[in-house]
Amino acid sequence: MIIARVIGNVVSVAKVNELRPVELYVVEFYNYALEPAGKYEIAIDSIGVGIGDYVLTCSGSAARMSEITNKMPSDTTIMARIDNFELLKKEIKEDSALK
Amino acid sequence: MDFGIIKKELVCTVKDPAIKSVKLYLVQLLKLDRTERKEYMVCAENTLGLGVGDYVLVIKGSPCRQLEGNKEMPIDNAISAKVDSIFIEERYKFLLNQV
Repeated sequence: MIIARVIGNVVSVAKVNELRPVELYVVEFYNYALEPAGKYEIAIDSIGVGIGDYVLTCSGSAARMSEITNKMPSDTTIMARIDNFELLKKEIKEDSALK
Repeated sequence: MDFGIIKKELVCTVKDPAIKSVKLYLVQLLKLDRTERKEYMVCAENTLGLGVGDYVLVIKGSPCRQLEGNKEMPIDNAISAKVDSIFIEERYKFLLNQV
């Protein structure tokens, strides 16, 4: 699962029938330090998110396990919305062995 | 799902009989501001009626066998939607060229 942020949505009329009832959101993947990782993906939203939320996306065949997208051709699904983060602020000591 | 544009339509006379009813398209993947990425994909599609120059969404991997009619086909890339417009919120526009 990857932390991502919803930055926009996709408007498309001509879709395959399985994708009719859902909306497609453009998400931007974030790395562990919560900066944009320079990679975007278009994900199916199964929980109702808004633009600007931090979300969790899961890709691969597991994306079809959620109850809304089990018959849908989805390879990335938004399945959680993050309310807040508690990152363990650890200083990484300059260890000569690591270099 | 990824965002791309159809460059060419492939014509193959000698095919596996399982994918006889499917049209093959050469899709180039794009960044969000439509600049081209150096990735190409051959995608299968049979219900949407697409042509060269259409902006499409591409599925990778096993979910593309969920589309109706593609149940037993040996394909791993498929087109799921024709994109009319992609809306990116104003404050995330700075991400456009990096993404």
